[in-house]
Amino acid sequence: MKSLAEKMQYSLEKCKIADQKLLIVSPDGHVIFKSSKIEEACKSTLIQSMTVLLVGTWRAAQELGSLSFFESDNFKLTYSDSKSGLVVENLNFQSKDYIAALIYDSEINPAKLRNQFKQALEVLTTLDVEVLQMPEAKKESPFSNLSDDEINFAFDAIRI
Amino acid sequence: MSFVNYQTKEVNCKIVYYGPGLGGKTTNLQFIYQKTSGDNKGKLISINSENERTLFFDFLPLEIGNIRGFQTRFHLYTVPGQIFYEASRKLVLRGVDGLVFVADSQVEKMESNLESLKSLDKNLLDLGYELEKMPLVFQWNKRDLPNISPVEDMERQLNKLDRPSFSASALTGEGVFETLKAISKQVLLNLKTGF
Repeated sequence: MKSLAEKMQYSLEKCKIADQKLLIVSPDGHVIFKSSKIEEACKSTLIQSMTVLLVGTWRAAQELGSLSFFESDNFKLTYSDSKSGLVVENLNFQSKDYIAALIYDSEINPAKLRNQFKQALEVLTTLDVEVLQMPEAKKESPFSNLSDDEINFAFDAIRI
Repeated sequence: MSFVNYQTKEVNCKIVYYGPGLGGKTTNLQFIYQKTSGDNKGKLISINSENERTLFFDFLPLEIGNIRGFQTRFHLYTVPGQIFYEASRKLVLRGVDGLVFVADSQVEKMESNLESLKSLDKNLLDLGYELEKMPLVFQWNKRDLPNISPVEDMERQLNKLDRPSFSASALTGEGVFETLKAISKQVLLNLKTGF
């Protein structure tokens, strides 16, 4: 059984955009997939910030759409000039919605790239459906009986 | 709701600072940002209006390092406090793991505190959460100002769930980390296991 991340990688390679900056996040703001290119370019806190802004932007646009009395399952968001930009699309996988983003710069043919991105998301949704179900919860939380001392120690270490 | 990720040994938790407008939510995050070492924090993102009022949210990613073998990160958010930003507040609350209710201690702000707490309860219900089951701490902010309500009054009127509470002055930093530590502990204790 392959993970969503592995399937995403397969789809991206098939559509020849595996070397791009790509991010898939859940509507709650968790990173589901990040391409190696984006990992190389951004430290983890920056990816978290990008995730939050992506989710916020997408949700705000959805709200704006509903206030404007139009609805669709097939919207995308773009923020771009002739060679750099950001495109955000909905990804429905196993009946769950995710937010997928492609970030590019200095691109000679962005329209082609955006099309490859769309195709990769379509390939992903047609792959066999077996992944991304939440595994059965383990019974024991690693944080049961967490003490004040442990919390104090962790926070004292990051304070200046 | 966040999960413990056993595969990557990571925990990412979402903590939202909620409360009435001008109560000091953003100031809490600014103080945490100022007093945290550079390697452990990301950029403080504030989506503000021109007069520095929160328009959508503030966001501060904080890596507190290794707790019991798990890389632990807290994503701190504020909501816009002004009454007409209800839709934004609801958006920010989605997926929340823990709440800090930042109450303004000034006597004349009690009504705003009560309204904000009521809106929190309603917004959570709309999203399918229950305030009673949510990690929550109260912060009685602006204790450095004159004309403030006694802590006993704040407790009686706002803290009916009898959750931990802290007197604070976010401007000077008093009580800010104590509040954050308390909610962090509650959130970690409440995390579901999985992955």
